Amino acid sequence: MPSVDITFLVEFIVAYVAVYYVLTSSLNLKAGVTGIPDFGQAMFFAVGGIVVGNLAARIAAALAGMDPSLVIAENTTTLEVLNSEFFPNRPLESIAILVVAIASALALGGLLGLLASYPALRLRGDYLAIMLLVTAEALRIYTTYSVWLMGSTPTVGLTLPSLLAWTGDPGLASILLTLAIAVAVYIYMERLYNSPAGRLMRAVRDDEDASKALGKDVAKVRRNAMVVGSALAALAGVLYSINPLLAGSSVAAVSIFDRMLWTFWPWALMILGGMSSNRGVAIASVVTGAAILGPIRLYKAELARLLRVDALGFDTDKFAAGLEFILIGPLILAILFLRPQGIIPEPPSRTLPEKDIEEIKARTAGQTGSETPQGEEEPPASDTEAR
Amino acid sequence: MVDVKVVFDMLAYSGVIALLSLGITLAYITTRVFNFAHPRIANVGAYAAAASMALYVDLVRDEGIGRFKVSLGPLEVTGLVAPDVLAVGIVFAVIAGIITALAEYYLVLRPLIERGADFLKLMIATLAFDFFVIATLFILGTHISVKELVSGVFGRETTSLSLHAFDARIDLAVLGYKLRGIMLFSFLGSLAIALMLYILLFKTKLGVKMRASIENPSLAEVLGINVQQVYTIAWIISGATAGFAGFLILFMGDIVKPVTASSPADEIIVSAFAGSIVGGVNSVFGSIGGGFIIGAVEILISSVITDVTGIDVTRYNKMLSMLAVALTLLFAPQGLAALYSEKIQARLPRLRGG
Repeated sequence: MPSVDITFLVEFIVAYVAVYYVLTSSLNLKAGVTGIPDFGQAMFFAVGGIVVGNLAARIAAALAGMDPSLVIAENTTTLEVLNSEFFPNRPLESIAILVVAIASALALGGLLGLLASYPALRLRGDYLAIMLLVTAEALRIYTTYSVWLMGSTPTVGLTLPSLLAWTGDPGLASILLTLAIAVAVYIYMERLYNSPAGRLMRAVRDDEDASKALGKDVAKVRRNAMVVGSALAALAGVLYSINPLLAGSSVAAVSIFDRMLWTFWPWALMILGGMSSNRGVAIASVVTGAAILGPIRLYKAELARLLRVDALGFDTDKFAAGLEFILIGPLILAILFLRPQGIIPEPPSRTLPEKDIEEIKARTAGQTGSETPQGEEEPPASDTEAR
Repeated sequence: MVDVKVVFDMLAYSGVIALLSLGITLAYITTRVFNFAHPRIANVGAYAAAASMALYVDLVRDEGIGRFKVSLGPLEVTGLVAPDVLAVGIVFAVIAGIITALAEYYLVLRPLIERGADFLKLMIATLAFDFFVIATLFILGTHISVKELVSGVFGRETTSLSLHAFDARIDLAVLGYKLRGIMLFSFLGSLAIALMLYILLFKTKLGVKMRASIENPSLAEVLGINVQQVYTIAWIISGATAGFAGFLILFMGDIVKPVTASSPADEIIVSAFAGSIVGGVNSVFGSIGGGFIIGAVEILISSVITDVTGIDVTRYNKMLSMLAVALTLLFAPQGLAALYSEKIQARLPRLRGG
């Protein structure tokens, strides 16, 4: 029996669940709620990692009085100095850099989502899916060979700045931060889902022509979903990259753009949980994170040894490497065959009690004297962020 | 002036892309969904070819991998692997491709279509199949020690599964230039398959049925055509061409990234889908044309840009095919083949009138 470090396992699983929840719910907003089949999710996720490894590291180098261009040219040595001397002793600067990194990741992810929404406004269904997949792959190949962006070696990639080193336990600190953000995202998604913006997104998904006929700007709805969803995916990328348990000390184009990990796993989780179902996605993240992702990613080598695959003639290491994928393929197929609607199917949208509606009607009638205008019951969260 | 090697590289690469695009198109016609697992079928073909050739040499042939030399006037071909070994590789690559494709169609896609799954669920299903196949390849690949077997038989020169060091050499005495066998073989092979497909579709009774089923499945069914049988044939062709493309990829070497143990088709997926979309996803011959267009864009144009600007863009050539896909989807969503037929149809009334 291999020795299992329970604390480490729990921390690892919690971190994975939180990052995957943020990533999957951002996909759910685009694909599940609005109906944009985004198969380029990895590219938005990668933005987060690139921002942390590039921008945050360069800012830190500039603040420490080093040449920022060295961060890429002599990535490892420069960041070793920064990680051992700068970050542990400068909490204020570290926090500021973290805030800047999160803000720029949100902005860049949103911007990339805005660009990607251009085809989303024109193309439908599988054409759009293939377009986004191809774009993400092309960007992966571009960054792999772009020394200025991802360092000189495609497999090693960028050494990450240890932005939470000042807390003394960066692993735990990043988990707490990730967990807090995941909870915030969950609350935001719950509110968005029951807001007019969320209802409109589902209306556009279900019947575009009817939404158009009612005077809704379908293109704008799609664009908003792409921008918000992609920004959240980039946030997930940041959360992954600042976590020493998940990303380790460096991030490479080949791993952060990985189709399987960051596009297909979220798709699998979303389908498992139930498309367009926020609670379903959360439960699926927790269940698969606790049952599959965490334990297998951490202990697959031990598991392969435990199963005595070498006795069957398999190479233990290779078997372990293939284990995760050989589980997810049949898992997705089983869901598609047995429960295509997911663990928790899309819930009916919650409507306000009649009393409240009457009250709002009376209030607006008193204010404007006109018929009820569109979206008067909109909560402020969705008003500022989703619209 | 563009180097001769670039032109031949382009021909070799275009051939493989055209074969893969053709398979994607055929699968799309029958399921209305892009088969994400298609490049993986080429992987299976590559593995099957390498393993069968190594096993054949090891178990059946006594005189090693064999060499031969043919002289045709000024043309001299030096083969580094005997033709029968290559034939074994092709046959097993094609068989493995067909089995994988049929397994995907009958075990995964067909049952889901019958349950009324939408395109998203089907797309996810092809991804799941892709996962399963790559993991199985990864584990089985070490189980039967394909790599050790191949390098044991073909010698130390093969790292990963690439056999490009064993490609035939064609000495063009006239040009004073040595050509690699794959450069002609891939190009001519894809043309030969296009020709066979043309004969099948336009000169046989089955071809009439196939075209009818492609054009209008429900009408074809009403007319008593067994659409299911036609779709099965489409998937057999799709798998066979992918398997053959996998065999070709083994010898591609520096033209595309060599076949590695983990994920040989990853870099090709962009180009293959690009070829299928540029050519028009509903047009069988359009996809072959699209494959050649993408090959030309990726190899020839990137090389020209490099020559003109002095900046090496050849590594980023996938960006060019992405651009080709984007432009096609935005300006001619039905692909180039549709544009062509629209032109013809626009001319028809005028021809009748005049």
